[in-house]
Amino acid sequence: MTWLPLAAMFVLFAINVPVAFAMAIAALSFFLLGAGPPIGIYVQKIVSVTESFPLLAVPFFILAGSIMNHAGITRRLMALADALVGHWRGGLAQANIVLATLMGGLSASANADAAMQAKMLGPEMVRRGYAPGFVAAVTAGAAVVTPIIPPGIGLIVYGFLADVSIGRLFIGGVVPGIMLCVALMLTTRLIAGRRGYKAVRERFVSRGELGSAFRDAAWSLTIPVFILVGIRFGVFTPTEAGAMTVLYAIAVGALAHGELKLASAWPIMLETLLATSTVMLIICAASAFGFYMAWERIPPALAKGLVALTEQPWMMLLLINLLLVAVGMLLEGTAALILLAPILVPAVVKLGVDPVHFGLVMVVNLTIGGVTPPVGTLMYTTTAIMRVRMEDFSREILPLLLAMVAVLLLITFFPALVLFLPGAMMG
Amino acid sequence: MGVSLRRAVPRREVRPAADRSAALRALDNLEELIAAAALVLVVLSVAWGVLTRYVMAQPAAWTGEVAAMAFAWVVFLGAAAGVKRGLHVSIELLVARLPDGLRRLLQRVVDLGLLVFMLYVAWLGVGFTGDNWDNPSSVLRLPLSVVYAAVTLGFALMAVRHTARMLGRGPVFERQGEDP
Repeated sequence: MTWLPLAAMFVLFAINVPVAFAMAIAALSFFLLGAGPPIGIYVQKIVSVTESFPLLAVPFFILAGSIMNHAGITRRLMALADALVGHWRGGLAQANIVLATLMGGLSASANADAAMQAKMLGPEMVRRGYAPGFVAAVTAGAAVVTPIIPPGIGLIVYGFLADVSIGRLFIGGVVPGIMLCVALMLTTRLIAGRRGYKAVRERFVSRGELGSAFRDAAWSLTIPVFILVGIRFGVFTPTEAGAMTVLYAIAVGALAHGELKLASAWPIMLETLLATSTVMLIICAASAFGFYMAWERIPPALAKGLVALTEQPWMMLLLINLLLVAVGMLLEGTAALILLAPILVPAVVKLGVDPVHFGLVMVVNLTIGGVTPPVGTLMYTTTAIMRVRMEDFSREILPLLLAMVAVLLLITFFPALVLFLPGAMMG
Repeated sequence: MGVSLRRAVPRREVRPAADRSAALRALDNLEELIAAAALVLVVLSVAWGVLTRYVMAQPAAWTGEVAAMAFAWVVFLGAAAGVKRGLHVSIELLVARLPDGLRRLLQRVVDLGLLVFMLYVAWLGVGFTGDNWDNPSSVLRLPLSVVYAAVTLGFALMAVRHTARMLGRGPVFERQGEDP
C-alpha cells in the first residue's frame, strides 16, 4: 500500500496522462484508499502552494520577459550583440548566442526567447548560407543559457522546493551561465571555420557605433544589475524584484522606447498566465503528492537507498547527472525538476553537497535536456519555427551538446565555480 | 502612462455589428479574462507593498494576502485555459508506439478518467467553499472561500473544456509560442 500511489503515478505518466493530473490523481488515491489523513488536507495541499510568496516570482519574471519582447528591447540587444561579435567568423551565430546571454539577465524562460530568436534571426542566417539545421540547433543551444543567467524559473522553483535562498541561486547562476555562453561560442567558432560561415563585417565596429548600440540597450542592461543588487542589499525579495521589474519594463517600453502598445497587452497576459499556470498546476499536484510521500517516509527511504549506492559525493553527483539526463529525455525539464528535487536534495545534502551548488547542477542538466531528442521543448520550438527535420537538428546539436555537457561536468566537480560568487557577495 | 490607444479604439468603431461574436469570443476566453484580471491584481498589490514600505511610514499589510488570493485565481483559471488549449505536458512517447486502435481506445479511457477526476475535485471544492464562508483571512477578514472558489470554478471549467475537447467541439486556438 505504501508504494501504490507512487506506482500509480508512473503508470499514469506512461499512458499519456498530463504530468500535473497524473501526480494529482496518484496523490488522491492515497487519501481515498484508506488509513491516511482526511481528504480535506488534499484540497488544502493543492491550494496552499498558491499562497507561497516566493513562487509569485514565477509569473512576475515571465511577465517581465514577455513585456520586454513586445517592447523592442530584444531588437536593441540584438544590435548590441551584433556590434560586439559580428566581426567574428560565423558572426550571426555568435551574435545569436550573445543575445541569448544578454536576454538571460532579463527573461526567465528559455522557450519564449528561443521562439523569438528563431523568428528574428533564423531566416536571415539561412539567407546568408548557414545550414537550417545548424541555425535551429544554435538557437536552441543558446536558449539554454537564458534561464541559467538570473532570473530563471527553474532556479525559483528549485529554491522553493529545496528551501534554499533564491537570491543565492540567482547569483550562483551567473558564472555557469557565462561558461555555457563561452563554450557554445568556441564550438560555433570551430564549426564556422570549417564550413566557411562568414563574419557580418570585416572588422570591429567604430567606437561611435559601439557606443550608440550600448546607449540604445542601456535601459535593458541595467535590469539584471538592478535585480541582483536590490536582492543583495535587501531592498527587496526576489518576488518583489520581479514585480518591480514588471513595472520597470512597462515604463521602459512605453516611455523610453515608446514601442509598447496597448494592443500587446492581451498577447502578453495570455503568454504569461498560460506559462505560469501550467507550471504551477504541476507544483500544486506535487504538493499533495509530497504530502503522501512525507507521510509514508518515502524520500528518506529513497535517500538512504541512494546513499547506499555510494558515499562519495562526486560519484553520487555523477550518478544523479546520468539519471537526470535519462529523465530529461522523457520529461519536460520543469516537471522533472518538481518531481525529483524533493527526493534528491535530502540524499545529496546528507553527503555534504551544498544545496545551492546542487540546484545549479540540476537546473543546468534539465535545461540542457530541452535540446536532447526525443523530448525537448527548445528543440520542438526551434525546429517548428525553422521548419527543420528532427534528424537534421539532432546531427547539428551534437557538438554544441558536448560543449554544454563539458560545462555541466565542470560545475558538477568544481563547486567553487557556482559557490564563489554568492559567497563573495552575500557572505 | 504613455501607452498608445490608437489601435484599440478604431477597431471597435468599425465593427459595431460584431457585438454578438464579441460576446461569444469573451465566453471562449472566459478563463483567460478572469485570470488576466487576477494577474494584474497580483502585480499591483505586490508592487504597492514594496512602494509603501519605502515611501510611507506605515507599510500596507494587506498586499501579501490579496496577492496570494488573486494568485489562486491565476493558477486554477489559467490551468483551465491550459486544458482548453491542450497545453498540459504529458509523456506521449510510449503510447505513440501502440497500434492505432488500441491507442485511441486507451486515450478514451484516459479522457474519461480525467473528467471524473476534474468533477470530483470541483465537488470537493464546493464543500470547502461552503465550509470556509465563516473562516476569515488574517488581515482583511475576507472569507477564505474566495480561495477555494478558485479551485471549484477552475476544476469545473476544466471539466467543461475537457468534455468539449473530447467531443471535438472546443474553441480552436493558435499554438502558443509560434505566433509573434
